[in-house]
Amino acid sequence: MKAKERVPGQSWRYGSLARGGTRALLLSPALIWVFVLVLAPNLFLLVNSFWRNRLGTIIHDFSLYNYQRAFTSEIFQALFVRTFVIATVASVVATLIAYPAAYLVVRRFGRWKLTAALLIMVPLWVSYLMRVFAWRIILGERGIFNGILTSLGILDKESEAFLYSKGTVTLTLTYIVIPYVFLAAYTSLERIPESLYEASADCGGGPLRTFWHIIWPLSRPGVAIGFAIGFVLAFGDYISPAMVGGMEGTMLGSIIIQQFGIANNWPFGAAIGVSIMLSALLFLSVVSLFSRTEARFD
Amino acid sequence: MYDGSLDPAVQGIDLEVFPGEFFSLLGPSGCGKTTTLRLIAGFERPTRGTVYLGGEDVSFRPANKRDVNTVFQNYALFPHMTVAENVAYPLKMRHLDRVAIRQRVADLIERVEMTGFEDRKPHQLSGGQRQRVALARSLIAEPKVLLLDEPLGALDLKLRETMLVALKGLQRDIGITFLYVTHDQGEALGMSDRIAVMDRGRIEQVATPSDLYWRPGSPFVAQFIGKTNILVCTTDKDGQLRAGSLPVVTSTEPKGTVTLSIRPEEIDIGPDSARHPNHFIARIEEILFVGHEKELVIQVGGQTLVVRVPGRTDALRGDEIEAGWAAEAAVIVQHSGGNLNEPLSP
Repeated sequence: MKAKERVPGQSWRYGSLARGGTRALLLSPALIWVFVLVLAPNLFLLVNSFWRNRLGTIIHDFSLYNYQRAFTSEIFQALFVRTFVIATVASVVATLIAYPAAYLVVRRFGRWKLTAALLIMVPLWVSYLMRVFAWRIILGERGIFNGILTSLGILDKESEAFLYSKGTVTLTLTYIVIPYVFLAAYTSLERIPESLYEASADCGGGPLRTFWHIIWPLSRPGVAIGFAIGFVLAFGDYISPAMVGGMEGTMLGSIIIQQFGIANNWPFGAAIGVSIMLSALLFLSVVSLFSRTEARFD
Repeated sequence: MYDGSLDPAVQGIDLEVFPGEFFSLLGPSGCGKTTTLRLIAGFERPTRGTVYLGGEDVSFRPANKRDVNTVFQNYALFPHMTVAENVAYPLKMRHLDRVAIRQRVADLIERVEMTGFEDRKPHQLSGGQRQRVALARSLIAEPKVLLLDEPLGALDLKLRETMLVALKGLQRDIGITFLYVTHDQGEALGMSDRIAVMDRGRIEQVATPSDLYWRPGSPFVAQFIGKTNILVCTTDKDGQLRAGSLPVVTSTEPKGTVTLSIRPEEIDIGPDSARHPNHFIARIEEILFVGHEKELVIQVGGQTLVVRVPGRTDALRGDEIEAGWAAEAAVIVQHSGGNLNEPLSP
């Protein structure tokens, strides 16, 4: 007996209208979700960014004024560069920590692999706010770090220097981003079968060359995705700068929340938001050039 | 030994493979043949024992420093590299210059008939093609020994037969020692110069294919290689060897309990069988048609025997027929409990 073959995407052509209706019905939750939560807010943001604000009221005439204002403002430029640098450093450092960690877990932890991976992911279960706040407890003036330093006699009295700086924000964001990069790196390393390590050794490749020629190229796309997630998270963040950044650690995200909040200038906030999204997209498309490796596992 | 296990994965493996030989490790799954291969490749470390390669102790030398190459069961081609890059990889690891590598790669690819596929990725190839690329990659560095771990296992029957002939020809051409692991007795018998039959982590017998078939050293070997009839016989008080009540004549005169193996094709049926010292009237219990032959299951004096006869025989189920075999047809595979080839001390 020959099984009836169904060509995907073609069945509706032969099916009744009712079947087409079922299809639309089945797809609708996803479509509604995408529209309400993804498309609509972004469209709203985009449209808003072209309007103008006068004393807290929005004037509906199309102009590029907000963008002009943003990009000619020295503060914006400085913040833009700072945000970019902080996000890049945080996601690069996170990747440098998370990737080797993932490699170690996948290769060396044997049957404890999953447990170890879960332990690294545990911070994700804790509220974002709490995770950032933890660093205030560690680095604050009456914090753990100061406590250790003073009790060891390295410092005479508690220092304020560890909190409220660019460095603190970078450190906190690095910490925030690590589990995401780890997850991406872990999954991509997990997929590489043991036999490829053995095949490379069999061909005369030592551990370093096996890593460089086989493992890195095969896991690179996953790492790039992890890095990208980390970068985007860090680039748009406003909680870390608000909680541990102080004046020096202000980032673009902080301005946006100001514009939408206290300043009550939605169009300007929207313009900055759109700028962040576009520059992140640009950056990610550059990253994606390095992430492509055509490889399929059986 | 595996973690948490008291039983060694393999033990009592005492093998010597000669240069240029096609040697097979044959046994049922789980018998330790792959573990043995992995010990030689360097993927496993022995808890005890030594692996020599060309007289040199390599037991604890890492895999990448051993002069052996492996064809993996699933081929283990590098998915992000093209066919040419895969084949070139071992030479790249040996720091050969580009021109020399390109020349050798082209040679090997031609040898396995993959010319024109150099720029394909593994996922764009069929199973048989991947197999040949894996073969080329493992041969390019001219190893002392090529290890093959059930390399034909993933191929369909037709392709397997073609590859079988190709492999045998290739081995003869290049003269590298092949150590071939398989659970398929047909593959092993067809290609090997010598075969080691393994069972439960031990080697049962090492012999040429025809010796294994005609002079099996244990009941296990006799039953694993081809089909056979096993008769457990004892000498009665008159000195007559009997399997149950059935009197049996052999070319030697064994004492006590012995186990005999008689190949199905060694048993003749019909009036012709009267010339044999073992001659009986049997009843046909079952007839199986296997193409050029028929397999008869017959009953003789309480013993069930399998007989192979030419396919045109027109015997019917339930028929009474004459059956018999020569004294030399019965091979003693076991004396009073001990296998023939088993050492005396445990």
